[in-house]
Amino acid sequence: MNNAFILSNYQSKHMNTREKILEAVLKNQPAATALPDITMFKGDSAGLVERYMAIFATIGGAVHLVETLEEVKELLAKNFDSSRRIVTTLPELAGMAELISVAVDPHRYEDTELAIIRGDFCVAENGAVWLTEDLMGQRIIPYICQHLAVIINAEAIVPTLHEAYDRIGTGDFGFSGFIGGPSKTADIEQALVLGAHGPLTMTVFIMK
Amino acid sequence: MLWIWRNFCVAEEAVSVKMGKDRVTDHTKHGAEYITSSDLSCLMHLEGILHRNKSAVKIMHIAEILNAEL
Amino acid sequence: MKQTKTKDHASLAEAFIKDEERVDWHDGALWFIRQKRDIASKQIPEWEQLREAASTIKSNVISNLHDYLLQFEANLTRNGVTVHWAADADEHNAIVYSILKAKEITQMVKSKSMLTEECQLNEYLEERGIEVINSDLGEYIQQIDKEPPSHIVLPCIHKRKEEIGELFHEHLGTEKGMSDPTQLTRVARKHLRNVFLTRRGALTGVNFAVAETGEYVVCTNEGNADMGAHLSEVQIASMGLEKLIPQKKHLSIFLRLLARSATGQPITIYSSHYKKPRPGQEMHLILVDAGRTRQLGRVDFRDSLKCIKCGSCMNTCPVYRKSGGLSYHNTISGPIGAILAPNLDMKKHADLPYASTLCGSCSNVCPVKINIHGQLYKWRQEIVKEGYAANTKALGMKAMAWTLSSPGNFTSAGNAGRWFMHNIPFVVNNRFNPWYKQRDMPEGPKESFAAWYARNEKKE
Repeated sequence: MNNAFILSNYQSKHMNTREKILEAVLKNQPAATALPDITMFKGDSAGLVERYMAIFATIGGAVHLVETLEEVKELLAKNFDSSRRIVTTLPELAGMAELISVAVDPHRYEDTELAIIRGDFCVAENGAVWLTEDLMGQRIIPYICQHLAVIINAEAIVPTLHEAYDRIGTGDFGFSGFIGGPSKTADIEQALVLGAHGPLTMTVFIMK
Repeated sequence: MLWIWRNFCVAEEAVSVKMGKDRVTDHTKHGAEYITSSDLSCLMHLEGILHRNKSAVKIMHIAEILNAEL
Repeated sequence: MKQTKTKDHASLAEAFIKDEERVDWHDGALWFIRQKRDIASKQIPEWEQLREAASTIKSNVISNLHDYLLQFEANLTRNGVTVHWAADADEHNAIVYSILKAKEITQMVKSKSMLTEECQLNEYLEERGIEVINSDLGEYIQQIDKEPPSHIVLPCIHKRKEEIGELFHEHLGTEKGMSDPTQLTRVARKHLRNVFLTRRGALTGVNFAVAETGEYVVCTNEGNADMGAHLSEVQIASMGLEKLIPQKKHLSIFLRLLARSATGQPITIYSSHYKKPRPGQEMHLILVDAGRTRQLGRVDFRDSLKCIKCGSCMNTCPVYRKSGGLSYHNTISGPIGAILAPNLDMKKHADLPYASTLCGSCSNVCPVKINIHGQLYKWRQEIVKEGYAANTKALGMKAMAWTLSSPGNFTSAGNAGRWFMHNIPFVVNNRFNPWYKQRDMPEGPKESFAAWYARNEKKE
């Protein structure tokens, strides 16, 4: 049997499955109940920068309040090995880093030591940064690098996920996500280890 | 007496005894001399464990304490 | 595969409890996670309102599931994702196989999916020459040990670091005796990184599926779902029908509740929203029934489908903490497992609703307010009605019903019990009485309370 036959066999088999499942759902589901109003959930907008910085530090990330990209460059040069591969989406940093190409096979970024990108906004209640595909350069970038650095405008901090999703709306990016710190695991006897499969560290620059 | 045969205490004997032992250890660790409750089956269970382990801690039903006060 | 299928919860629990030091450690570890959940939830003044909103949203989902499924399917298709429907585990597994076979893929990397554990996908694919590697560290450890995960969030919570070190020595060539968690994690990072870089097929689970937009969210701390997906040519997502939520904004409610309930974190490190394939990549999503529509039809138990798989009921349950997830002989264990499993196989899982003191702690912590302990009680009645209760349980309950049915019966039973205990104690103080195994029998009062009260009341 060739592959096309196997596939079409299964397709015709599960066209019936689709109808059967939908029929069973319709028959078994209870009488419709309404959605709740969730507009009353909102966060406190005071002291967002301080609160974000405090939370992000407790998660094991590094956070700096800066005023210029020069400061960002200095801090990065101090903390990371410039002899290794550094990539970025910011043309202003082209002197110290390679510009990410969307056309290249994602596997080619395997040896990325540090990736420097912009974030859309961040969330004070949990330290997470919201990134959309266009800001990542390529989807793999924020996950495959050994160290991640994200630059956020100081006005772009929201109190809770409620304001976050108001801001995101339905959106239309093919991929997007929250990233809330360096990757981690506690699977071995609940001992917290920073650096699982994603980056070992994460640095956020809050730009005034 | 018949009801003890197949409720949790007996159906899940190992887990139930372990829960009782941990509860007793917690009480004695905090220096309790008496353990009380309004639940007879709970008290029976803890008393059984205390006696088997020859503990000095005593069990009293809450009604006995109130009765002694009068 | 290690066999736990032939024994019931009580005997598996007994074996687990024999190692008292390990039980105390397991118990303490899970309770600590429960406490972290408490700290996190108390930092949100509106926590109870969030739970209520989540519960109400999920009621709306369950009662409009047909239409949400159609909406979700239409949006997925518009986004360029191929939609498949699977009635049961076999169909699900066959679909995954056919997708991989069509691209001649023989190695796949998987991020955590309890559904695929339920379907025993790995075994199915391995039998057909496709290698699957679990990339979540806890699941990877369980995979190399040929043991199922014991907890839906913390797969190897029952294992000591020395045991894990021994497994890594055997399978990854690490130094014998190495047990430091950081060192072991670094070894796994290096090994699994190579897996991500070389696998053309990746499979993920689904935490939340948004009907409104056709996207789905995958939550991890390790980043393994993203490492697999963004390097793959073919990305497959397997999801249970009940994972739907109506609108994107509802993610605010569920993401605020999920990680805080599961581990006490404000959010998982990665909450990735997958919508469209990368240029040149194939994306598939499989909608799986496998007993869910049947549970949907059970008036008393359909609310169990609200579950967001946080595991907080397991962390708080005294029985789970002292017996371990593997004692439940079901992929989903603990209190939620005990109300889901009897629907899948009432005979096999008849013991699970009885593995509970009905203390209700599970219902207290459940972020979507499932009345778990109420359902455990109802399942017992269902199981007795269907004839699956162990004979002795039914007889014991009948005896209890007789004893309590009238004051006369109660007094006779009490008098008889006291007579035996005073005059022929060895009738009950022997090894045939399970009570007597680790507990002394009570002494038995000289007279019943009723008799004492009658005597003393007259004195006043």
